[in-house]
Amino acid sequence: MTNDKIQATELPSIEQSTFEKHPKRFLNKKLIAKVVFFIPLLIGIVVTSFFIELDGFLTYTLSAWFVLFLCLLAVSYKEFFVRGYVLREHDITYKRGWLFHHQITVPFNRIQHTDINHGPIDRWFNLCELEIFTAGGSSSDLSISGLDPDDASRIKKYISSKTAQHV
Amino acid sequence: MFDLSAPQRQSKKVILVYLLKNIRGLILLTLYALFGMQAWSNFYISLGFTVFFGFVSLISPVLQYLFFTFHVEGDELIIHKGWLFKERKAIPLDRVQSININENVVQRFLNIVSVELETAGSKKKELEIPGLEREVAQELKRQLALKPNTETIETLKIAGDQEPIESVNNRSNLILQLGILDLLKVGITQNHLRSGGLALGVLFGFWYNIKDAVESYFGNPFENWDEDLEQYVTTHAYDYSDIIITGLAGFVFFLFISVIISLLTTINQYYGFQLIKDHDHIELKMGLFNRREIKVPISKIQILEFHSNPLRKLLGYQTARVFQAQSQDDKLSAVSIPACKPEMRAILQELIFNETVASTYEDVPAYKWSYVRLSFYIAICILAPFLVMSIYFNHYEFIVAIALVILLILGLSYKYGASCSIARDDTFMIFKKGWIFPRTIITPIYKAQAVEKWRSIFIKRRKQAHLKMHTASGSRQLKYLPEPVICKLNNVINNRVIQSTESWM
Repeated sequence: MTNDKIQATELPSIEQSTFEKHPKRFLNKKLIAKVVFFIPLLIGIVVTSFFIELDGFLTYTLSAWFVLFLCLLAVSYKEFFVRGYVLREHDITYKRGWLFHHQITVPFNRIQHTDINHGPIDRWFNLCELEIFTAGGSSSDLSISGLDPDDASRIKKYISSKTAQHV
Repeated sequence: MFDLSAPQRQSKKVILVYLLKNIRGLILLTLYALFGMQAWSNFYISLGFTVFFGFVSLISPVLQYLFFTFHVEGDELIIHKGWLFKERKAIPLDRVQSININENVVQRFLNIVSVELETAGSKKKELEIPGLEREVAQELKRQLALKPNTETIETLKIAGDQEPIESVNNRSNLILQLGILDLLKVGITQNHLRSGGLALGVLFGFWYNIKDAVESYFGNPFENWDEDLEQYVTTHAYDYSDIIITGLAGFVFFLFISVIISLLTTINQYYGFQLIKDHDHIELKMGLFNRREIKVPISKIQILEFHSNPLRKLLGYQTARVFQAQSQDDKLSAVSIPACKPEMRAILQELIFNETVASTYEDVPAYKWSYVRLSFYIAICILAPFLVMSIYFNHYEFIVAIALVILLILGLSYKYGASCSIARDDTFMIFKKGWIFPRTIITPIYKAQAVEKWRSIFIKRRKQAHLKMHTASGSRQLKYLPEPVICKLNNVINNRVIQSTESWM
């Protein structure tokens, strides 16, 4: 039997680990989704400009649309590079968000079950979403979108092998 | 006498309960039909509807009674219900978290009770057996509560663990009992503004509901109140002191009514309050008209909170709130224990977590100026239009008022921020926040389900972040802490959870 003393400073910390990046096509998907979302808005502006006869309505709204569009594109672009996940022996950590940055760690022995989702756009880009559920409220659930399907199923398998040991 | 293995019906008296419920609905419907549906001039259609609904509400209670059965099969409690839409519910017994016995006025009169089962993943109302004889309910409660209990004791014995568990756990003893004097104190120290506000809300809601009906008969009583007021003001000579006195009198009246309401609701809610430790459950009994008995397994309790307010601080009282694992962040289903004296605080911690908070270390205060900054931005955003308006209309005295409001908000948030701190000892995390309404949140570290560090981009360069701890009964967070401290705490919590083998819910 071994029961070595461990110094508190020797316990592993999340900051030491290197985060895995999402595949590059996730960025493309994000950007294209933004564009697709903004085109109807543009059409709406152009159509309403036919009905509203104000001087410079079209120029002002169009420039506002353009600025907003560029801002959100920039945020999506920035966001991609701070996203990442780490799988460790006993837990999974996910970080995301540029304006509001979140980093959440869920130990495997608190995970109830995991799920993989493929949306239609995701499938087109060969991506999928891994959802990790904990007990109680939904606040501590984790969803990692934009994963390679093979990676996702590997992670899922790894997590379920780990959780099975504890339950 | 009471066999759970065969399907059981409820007490026959429940038909009356269902009937009363239907009649209440029927009366509302009739009122609505009378006032609201005047367009339905056809007499026969209304008559047909009335007869139909009358018939349904008389027959359906009997059918509801006949088709509601429950029994235990294996280790599941099975409830069958419904006549048109049949439902079968199976609840694994070891998932049952708390068993509550409720009794409203009607049920009390009939001497029956309703049994409510709470599980970690269900909506509250779904698992309710609305009418059982009191003895049957107690028996059911005993049998359901005992199941997991006996199991653990057996396994412990097999594992060759020490015996005394039974002698320690099998005591059922009274922890706290509140007399009428305590209740009065609790009632007096309620948040009166809130109860007054609630009363106002109920009043306005009620008025809004009957407004259409009243107006259709009597016309709008407030139709030209502004003209009336103007007339009053022009005919009567008035000065500011009149207005101030009227306002003060109104406020005192409002406070008086609020105090009365808080007293009444407190006594109604907590009359005969008892907190009992029973094996590995805590049991609470309370209520005057609607009597409630709540049974919570201690192991499912995740968070213990202590709330206070200025009045209660004077008396040295605090309200303890106990949060157990559940699926939604529903604050209402938390169990609260009013009138906790400081010594009760230690007793409760000992009772629920088997340990009290020892001397804490790493007491880290939050950055109070960050709170001030945030509320300054928000206040400016909201008040800027008013500021612009007052300048535009040349009413410069409003600028002073706005500045005063902003100063007040800043002062309050400074005090709030100054009261926020986080601390831990070997087993617990302690969050403290709030100045006027101080709140202490205590949760064992191993009960955490996930830890989160988050920040907006604006505080990144200040090296600050927020810590959020997720448990099975919701998340608790503390904002604006030094980032290195949060990283360290994150790692501590996470490593503790990984190492712990105790069952956390």
